[in-house]
Amino acid sequence: MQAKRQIKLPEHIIEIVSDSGEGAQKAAVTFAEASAKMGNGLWTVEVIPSEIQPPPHTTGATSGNRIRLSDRPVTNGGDYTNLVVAFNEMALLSRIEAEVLADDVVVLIDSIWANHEDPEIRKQYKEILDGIREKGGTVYEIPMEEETLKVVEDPYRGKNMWCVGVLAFLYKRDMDLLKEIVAKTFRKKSEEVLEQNIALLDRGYAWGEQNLDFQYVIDVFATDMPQVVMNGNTAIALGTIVAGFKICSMYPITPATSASHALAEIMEEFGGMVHQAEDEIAAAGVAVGANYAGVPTVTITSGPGMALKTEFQGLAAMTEIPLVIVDVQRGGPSTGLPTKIEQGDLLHAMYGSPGDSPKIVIAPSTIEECFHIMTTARKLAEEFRMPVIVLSDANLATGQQLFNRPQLSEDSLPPPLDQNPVPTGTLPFDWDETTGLSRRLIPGQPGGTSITTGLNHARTGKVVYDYASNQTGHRMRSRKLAALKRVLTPPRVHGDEQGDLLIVGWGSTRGAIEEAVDRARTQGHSVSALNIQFLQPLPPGLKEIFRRFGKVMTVELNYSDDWGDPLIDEESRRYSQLATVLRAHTLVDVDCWSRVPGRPFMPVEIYRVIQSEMAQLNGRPRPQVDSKTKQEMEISHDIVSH
Amino acid sequence: MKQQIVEITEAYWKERVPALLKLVEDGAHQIENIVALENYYRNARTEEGGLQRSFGGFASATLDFKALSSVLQQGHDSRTMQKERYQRIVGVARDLDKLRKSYRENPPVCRFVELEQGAQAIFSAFESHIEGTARGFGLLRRARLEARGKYVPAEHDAFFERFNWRQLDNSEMELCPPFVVFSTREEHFSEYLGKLLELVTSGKPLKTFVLRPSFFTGVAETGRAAALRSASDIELLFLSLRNVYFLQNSMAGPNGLAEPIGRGLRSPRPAVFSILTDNGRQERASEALLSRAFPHFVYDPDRASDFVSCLDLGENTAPDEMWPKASLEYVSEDGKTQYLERPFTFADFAVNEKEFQEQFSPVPANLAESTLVPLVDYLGMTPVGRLGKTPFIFHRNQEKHLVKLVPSQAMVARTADKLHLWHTLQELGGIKNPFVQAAEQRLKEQLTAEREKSLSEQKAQLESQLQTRESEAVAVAMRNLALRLTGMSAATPAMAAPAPALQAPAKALSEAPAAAPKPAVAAPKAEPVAAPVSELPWIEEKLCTTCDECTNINKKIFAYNGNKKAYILNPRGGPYRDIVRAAEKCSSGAIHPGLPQDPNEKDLDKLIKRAERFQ
Amino acid sequence: MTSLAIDEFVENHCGVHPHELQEYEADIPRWCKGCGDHGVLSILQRLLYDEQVNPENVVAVSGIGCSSRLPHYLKTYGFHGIHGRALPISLGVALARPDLRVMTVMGDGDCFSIGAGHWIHTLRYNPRIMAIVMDNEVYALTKNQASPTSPAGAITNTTPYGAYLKGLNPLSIILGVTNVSFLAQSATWLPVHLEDTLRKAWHHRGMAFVRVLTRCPVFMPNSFGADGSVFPAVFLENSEGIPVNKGVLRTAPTEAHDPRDLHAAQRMALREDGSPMGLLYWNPDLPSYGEVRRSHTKELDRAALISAMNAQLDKYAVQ
Repeated sequence: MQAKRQIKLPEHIIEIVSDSGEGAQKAAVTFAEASAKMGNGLWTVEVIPSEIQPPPHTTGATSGNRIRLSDRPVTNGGDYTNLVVAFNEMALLSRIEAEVLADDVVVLIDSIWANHEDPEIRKQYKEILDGIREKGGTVYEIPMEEETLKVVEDPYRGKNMWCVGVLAFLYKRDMDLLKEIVAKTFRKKSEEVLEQNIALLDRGYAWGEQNLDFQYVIDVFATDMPQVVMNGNTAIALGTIVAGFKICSMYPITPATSASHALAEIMEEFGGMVHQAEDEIAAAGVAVGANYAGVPTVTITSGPGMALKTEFQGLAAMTEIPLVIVDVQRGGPSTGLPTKIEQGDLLHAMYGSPGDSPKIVIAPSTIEECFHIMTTARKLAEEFRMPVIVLSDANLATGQQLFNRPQLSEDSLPPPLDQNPVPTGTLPFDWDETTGLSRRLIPGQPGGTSITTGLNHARTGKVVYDYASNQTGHRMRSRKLAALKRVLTPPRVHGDEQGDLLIVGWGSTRGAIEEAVDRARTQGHSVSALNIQFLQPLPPGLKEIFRRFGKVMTVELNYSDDWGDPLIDEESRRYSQLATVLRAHTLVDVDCWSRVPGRPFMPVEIYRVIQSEMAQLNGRPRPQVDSKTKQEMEISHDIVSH
Repeated sequence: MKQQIVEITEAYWKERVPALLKLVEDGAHQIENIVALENYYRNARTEEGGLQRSFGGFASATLDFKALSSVLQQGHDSRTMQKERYQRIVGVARDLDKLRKSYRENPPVCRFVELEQGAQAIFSAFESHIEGTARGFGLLRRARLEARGKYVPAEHDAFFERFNWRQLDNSEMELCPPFVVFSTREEHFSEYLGKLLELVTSGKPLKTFVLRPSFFTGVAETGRAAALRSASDIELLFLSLRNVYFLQNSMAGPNGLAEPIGRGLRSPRPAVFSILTDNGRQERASEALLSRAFPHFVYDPDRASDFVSCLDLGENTAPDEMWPKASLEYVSEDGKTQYLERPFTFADFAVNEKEFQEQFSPVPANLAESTLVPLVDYLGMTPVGRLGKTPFIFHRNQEKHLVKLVPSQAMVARTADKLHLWHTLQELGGIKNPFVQAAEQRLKEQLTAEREKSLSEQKAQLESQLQTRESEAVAVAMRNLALRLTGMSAATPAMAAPAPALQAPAKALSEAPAAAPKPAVAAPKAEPVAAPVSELPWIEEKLCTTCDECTNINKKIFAYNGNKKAYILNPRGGPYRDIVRAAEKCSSGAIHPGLPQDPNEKDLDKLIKRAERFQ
Repeated sequence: MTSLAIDEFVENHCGVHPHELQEYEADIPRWCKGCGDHGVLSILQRLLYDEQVNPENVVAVSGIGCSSRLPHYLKTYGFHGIHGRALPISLGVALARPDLRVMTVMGDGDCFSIGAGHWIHTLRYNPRIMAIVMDNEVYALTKNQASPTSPAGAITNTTPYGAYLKGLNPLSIILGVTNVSFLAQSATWLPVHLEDTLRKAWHHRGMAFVRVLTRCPVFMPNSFGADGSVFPAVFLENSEGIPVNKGVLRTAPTEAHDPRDLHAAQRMALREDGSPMGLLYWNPDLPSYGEVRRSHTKELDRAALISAMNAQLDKYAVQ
């Protein structure tokens, strides 16, 4: 067999898309796991329909996964897709419509549709592929179904593994490793099923070998640190156990639920339990009760659930009970985009509640942080006696990433339950005048019997109505945030400490922002990035940092009015959420650029924003931001192929 | 034989051991946690490094732990404990850990000794046997007190210094390994009895087994001596001690021994098990049971607070009969197999016993048929009635033919004695007790009276009657028992039946009906029970709902007692009007205004009228 | 233990001093005079006293409403929560700390209206909770609005021309819930019966639900026929049930009822001629939610947990 053309790449973005239920997800996960274990940098993003079984062969039915493979660690999903494996042309179309495909994309598509009995289908199939070619893409029509049928009767139950075989050839994956993983995935199924899938894998590989004349080479990177790979929700689940939480009380909601699934799988093994409550309110109530009783308990939810838990957040703030809520954000408002990504809950997390109810709000910016943040959240809640809200999002939740294997120690677990007797008359809210901190009395502690109430109360815990004590109560609860702020360190700037432009972000956009900033810096722009992990209280020194830049703006995945839109001016413009907070907090004129695409940002989108901002700062007209221009495509292309 | 008991005992203890181990493990764990928490408060929560480790990876990039530790040490919450307490707790933790380890390796075991060793030797053996376990419980108690911060050295050091098994409570006693004493009925009965009593009355929870190879001893006396010879019914002896768990049963006991012995071993008290081993001959053992020669029963003082319910005769056949019936198979003159139903007396049992052969003789030929009386009837006769009568029992001879045999005076005496013993047990057990029966009868009648007429009141009355009757009955029974134990003419026919002893109280019973309220005509709606109007106002404490109505009307008249129930503080503390108003307000009608204390109060007659419905 | 036995073990209580009734009393109650809640409070205090419970091992949880003030007056740990949410909080405590005893105190609006969802589902979980609803058929704290149990025609501020609908019957709803294990009803004008009822509930293994008819002297003075004397009720009699005593016989007839028979209990709950008083249903064998859940959880010490988690991480390790 003649030698294949070897195309060396620093990274490649691959998509596998099919009708929901055809197994593109499983194929992608298998492929990704193998790649991760071989030592490539990796980030995956799910492509999920909101329905379980949408009408097949429609754009709405598209399900699959997006894998960014790299020869170095990656922190985000990257830019445009370089190669698509599509089970049918509608799946392909949905990706074209999503504007995520590179113009020079390589498409592998099932040839079966070319001569489908339905002329309509034949027609649209042709049109879509022509569209790809016109833009400069390459199309390989491959006999997925035909080949699959040689092994199994039902093509819907086999194409995916055959495709993995083809990709394994294309990207020179370790077949033994792949087979191990396949064996693991199908361990619950019959021996026969397993054999079939292995066979499909081999046949796919063989087919590629015979019919394709090129292969991609993406080096693996060496690291002496042992690595693990998992998605953010799994990281949160494992982190929850390592943090010593004993109960997770939850109510099913996308995209948070998979964290609870992961917990339900193993938590009993670790001496804990997952309690599925009758509703979001009860889930929070159980967590409040259990934490009040001294047993660390977490409740995991998403936007609409946060809305329902508002009542208990207020109670926890008022009664100073450590309540940890994980909010895996999704598109809002209301039911919004259940399976899609947004950073829309920041203001709700900070302020959602009648009256003033101080809460701590923190946001992980990587999957590694999803793991470690749970211990921090528990400790903050306990030591500062207030609700802690962890803002994750659908991007971290479903994205897979390699990170250093956590070094575990018993120190991350809480100390034994405090049942020590306290002197009779010990006050349940014995606030320290300076910090507002006080010792929490836990039921079972002799001498500590006292009332805990959501009504305004004095240090004794007893209800009081006079204005002075109400003022004191508020002051003390609020003071704890000030005390916490005192112990925070100023955030580190990514890039130079000063310059023309500072891009501020929070949460999962960190990777994309920093990659875009790096790209702009290689292009000679004076721009830096700042990621904020503590959102309430904000870290100290922000004003000082902002002062050192010509312009400060946030980039966020939530809604804000755009300059130049009808009726939008200085007075009417509604800023994105972090920008609103920063403006109020620092009195600096922080600008913002935000979008709600329901998918993660591509670095190139942010890069485009930087370009336009720099242009304006240098008095040139702003380039158009929202559509691709040839010139950027070149840039993004250099990046891919330098 | 002993082997079997050893097995039962060890099986019983094997079941208990895990509970004991868990108790120690949990205790040790709890104390260790206290120590761990203390160390956490002293170090990890305050010093920088500790904080950094406990706050997790996310914080290490964002928090300044030096600052944090100073912030957390602000304020007045000193969570660490005093040095003395800490040292005490560390000590307890160490000892508990030792205990835990030693129990894991070899948990406490049962101990078995023989009575021959003599009481003193046994006592010291017992003390050393239980000492370790007791000290363990002392340690657990200390742990519990320390955990709740209730350990006061001034009070407790001394207490735990001399802590021993005597301080254990029932639940702890249950988890002490049994200490078993074996004794076999010896020749010198009095001496033997002496030793036994010394053990049992020592108050030590010894578990003593009295093994009786046979249900009687020695050669039967004859003539008067036989009649007056006190049967050695040690069972009754132990009943008279009342604080001892007592079991009488035989290896042939229908329901096995494990359960009743288990209960005795578990009891926090001394226990005596009188077991008929009988060389393992089944049918004779069960016949002995049948003939009342060796009744089975349990006396468990923890079962209830009254003697009657502590004594359980349930295992005997027909416990409420004098003699159970049994059929005798024989061949009639014409060669047919026949069956004879007759009360199975001790004599009927003894006639098959080698030792008793010579106590039975054929009916003398010259004896008139008319003078023969079945033994059962004979026993019921007065001395005068017995004149010129000869008792007999039916017997099957070698030819399987039915013959009449005449029991000797000694045998009659023994049978009467067994009858009396059995009857005594019945009385003590509340079976066929004429007093109890009468009271029960009365209770039934009253219960059927209409419920509208304040049912519970009658129940209360009758139950109290019943109780007094029972205690009288038991008193009398105990009196008889006392007589027996002194060995006084137990066999004289007059004493055989308890009748004479019963007459006096029986009269008292006839007054009972008067005591009970008369049945009322059925009314559709319930009426309050009319109580006589009392001079002073009064409150039915049980009915008070602590609703503050009355105390709000007049605190000088009404107040709450220690039970949070209202009472009349001072009937003259205010006007009669207030008392009446309170009665009207009271939601549970607990207040009865009585009569006005101040004749000059105005509108009195109106008030009295209003008060009527509450009197 | 019998009197005989008690004498034997006098010495062993050294240092363990019995609790006084006062140890369970906190503030002076601030309910209106004549309010039935006073009675429930003093009974609960007596109950804890009789059982000699360590005050720190009791958590009294309540929602919002007049009756929900009760934890303030009880000197145990108390959690005065939010309207309708007492049960989730209680469940949290019960699930987290089997070593504590949880008493949940609610009003009719609190439990049967805004908390209805939690009411049904917590009954099904059957946690070890003593749940008491003081039902006065009205929203009193918010000043006289109709509650779900207000009888038709009741004049309140929200129904000035009389309540339009028939009052809700909570008993039949409770007995329709899968896994219900204890339901009893009593009334504050029957202190003895009420005390016996609460004592029985205290010793139940799972969720003991007690509805206490409570007269509101201010807004519903005539509910339950004022002092209950003309309230149509029937007292359930059973050796396992609540003793029927003189106090109750003055007010209503009795009827034999087997609390182990769910269908009989359901019929009883639905009867209209008289409200059933006493133990309607009792299943002492049903394990509590805590028991069920803990029977599946492994006990791990800290070191074991960490090594187990390391084993978990291996599944995600990259070679």
